[in-house]
Amino acid sequence: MATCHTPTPTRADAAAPAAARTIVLAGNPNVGKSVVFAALTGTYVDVSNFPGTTVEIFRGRRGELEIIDTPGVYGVGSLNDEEAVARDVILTADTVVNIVDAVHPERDLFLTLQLIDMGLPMIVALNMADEARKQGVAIDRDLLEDLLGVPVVEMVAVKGEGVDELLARLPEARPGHADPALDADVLPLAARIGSRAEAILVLEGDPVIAERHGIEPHASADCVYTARRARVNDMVGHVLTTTTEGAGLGAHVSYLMMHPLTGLPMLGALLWLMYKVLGEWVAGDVVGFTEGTLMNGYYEPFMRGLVSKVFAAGSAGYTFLAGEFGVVTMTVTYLLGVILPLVAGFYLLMALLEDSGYLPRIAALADRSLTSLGLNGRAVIPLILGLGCVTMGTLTTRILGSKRERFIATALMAIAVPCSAQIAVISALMARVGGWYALGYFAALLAIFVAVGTVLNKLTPGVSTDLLIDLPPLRVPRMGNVLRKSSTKVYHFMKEVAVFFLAGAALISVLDITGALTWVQTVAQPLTVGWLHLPKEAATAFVMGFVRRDFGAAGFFTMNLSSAQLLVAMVTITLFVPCVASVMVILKERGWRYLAGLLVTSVSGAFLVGGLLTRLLEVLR
Amino acid sequence: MKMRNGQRKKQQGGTQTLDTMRRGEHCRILGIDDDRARGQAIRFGMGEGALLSCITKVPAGPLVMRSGRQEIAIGRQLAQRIRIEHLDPQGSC
Ligand SMILES: Nc1nc2c(ncn2[C@@H]2O[C@H](COP(=O)(O)OP(=O)(O)O)[C@@H](O)[C@H]2O)c(=O)[nH]1
Ligand SMILES: [Mg+2]
Repeated sequence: MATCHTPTPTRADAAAPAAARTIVLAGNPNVGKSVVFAALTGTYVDVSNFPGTTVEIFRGRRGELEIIDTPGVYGVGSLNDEEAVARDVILTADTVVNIVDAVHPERDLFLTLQLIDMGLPMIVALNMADEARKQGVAIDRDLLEDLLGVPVVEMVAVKGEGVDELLARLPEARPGHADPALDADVLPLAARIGSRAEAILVLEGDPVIAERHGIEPHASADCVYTARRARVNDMVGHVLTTTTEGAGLGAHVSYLMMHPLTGLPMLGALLWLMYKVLGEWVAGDVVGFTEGTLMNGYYEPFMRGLVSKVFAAGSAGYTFLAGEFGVVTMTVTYLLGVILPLVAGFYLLMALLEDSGYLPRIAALADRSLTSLGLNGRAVIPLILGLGCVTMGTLTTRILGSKRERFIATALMAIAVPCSAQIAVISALMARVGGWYALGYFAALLAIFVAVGTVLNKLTPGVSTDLLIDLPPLRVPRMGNVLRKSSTKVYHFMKEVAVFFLAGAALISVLDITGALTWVQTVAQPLTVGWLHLPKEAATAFVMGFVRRDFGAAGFFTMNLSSAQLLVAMVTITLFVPCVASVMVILKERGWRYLAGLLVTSVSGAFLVGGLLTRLLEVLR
Repeated sequence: MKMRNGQRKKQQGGTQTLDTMRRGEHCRILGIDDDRARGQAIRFGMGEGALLSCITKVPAGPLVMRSGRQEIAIGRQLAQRIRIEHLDPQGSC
């Protein structure tokens, strides 16, 4: 690790290209890239405090400039999806704006030096200057500028400070002082493949870039990384002065959040609060208004009126469009009246959790339990979202580190996690039968969740990744961020799933019109009556449960069941196949083999557990 | 009190692994026996040679380490693959 900090310009400081066209924002997670992006483009996209919740790319414009926001990464390479995505975008950049968190230069400058080694024209935005001052961290900006060889601008992105300077100095962006020790290897390689940036990546062993050029990746990653790390540490030693060691109240709260003795009650309180807000208020009052009053009261009668002008009531066309599962009636009602408020509520709460920095700490707390299910702490994100809507959770399994974890998490959600719409109906039903049965329901689900996870952990091939996450500082969430962030997520979610809901409803309508639905209902009766000791109408509820999970549960409202029967029915319907929309998303994300396996397992599992529970309860009496 | 961790094979030369750290202790990283994690850790500033302190140890769960102002949660199993040198007066029991 022999590198010195003496800036030895390796290339002529050529004047920057006059009109830079593509500006790529790059930086570690949580350094304010999205806020800068918003400040530059006027559109706001995504603010996240959890490393890796976005792999999407956001583009915006400012006059002539195209501005691209990338996922947060600690380095460019092929370590994970985010890195690969960021790498490919960065390679297209005319100018890179590297956002650096002024509070964590020793972490962030690693990426900075890598970008500089790659020879990209760039400018560094030293963001969070306010936070740095508060924590007694001072960075000698001018010295840093000299050492890096690129312009360095100080910013407080959330207050819009420094944005004008950044724009003003954009034309000064230039390649910085790369590590001269790399030249011997890089220059010939760069000449051969025609890009210094890609040459560096090949040298660092990036298999994807190497393959693009049909060459072997070099095995010198460790060596290059170690030298770069040494340069970063050396540089930080020169430019950084700290006056206070920043470990105050935040550090203590952080500790309490992660220690099981205090963290579990806090998590419990949080989940209870979420239940109160989402399960009771949103799923009850809000949905009651949006679905009941607005959609059922005004929208559906209006649509039925319209459709009946073209198709006679009772005709196949009418049933398809405006029947029980009508494409323009029930589907739209469900999407806008039920899913939209729930998903909005959920993403809003998640955004609050993310922006506060609590989420990664929950991940640390839950890591131990989740490892025995073949997951790591990161999986709390999709699992919590799954409580909102299994479809939402399934889409979010993309953030998990391996195929194995995605496999397990998807199955767990589809089988043992009730969605909020369903929880709402189930709690209403359970309220009639008293606390013990309600408790029994949640205990049974938890047991099944653990059992399914444990079994899958044993059976699923491959290895799960370990938890290795950065814990961002705890912050009071900023309402502006939270709102803008969750609204974008809600929009993307609705856009992504609307078509699945439509397709699902259409499918069910076809089954209905062709008489297949009644046939299924009849066929299922021995199972429901004989095995589960439920009335024969229960079959209808199960079929309905496939369309909408909460419909399934609601189907039992009118059935006059005993407390024990109700418990059996609720457990069985929860374990029973997920709703048609999540089935479609699972099909898209995991493929048909996975889906088929999952459906067979969850249907047989649901009835097996339901039947056993029936007998257990009968014995207990 | 944490003797059960001591049962893990002690590496040659008195080297220990990260999971033997206790809250408040300091260490230097000697090596990370996990390719994926090594690249990630160097990026974080927690690669070979880095000085860390343990700020939280979730029982049987991850360790939360601090280097500078940076906090990182490291799963227990990964911690067992990170070789360290204790830097406290009587670091090894
Ligand atoms: N104090 C302070 N907070 C900031 C600043 N810039 C961004 N943040 C906060 O840092 C968090 C992460 O910002 P974000 O733009 O999502 O980071 P990204 O992950 O890099 O896109 C958010 O909670 C922002 O409110 C800043 O200049 N000062
Ligand atoms: Mg972002």
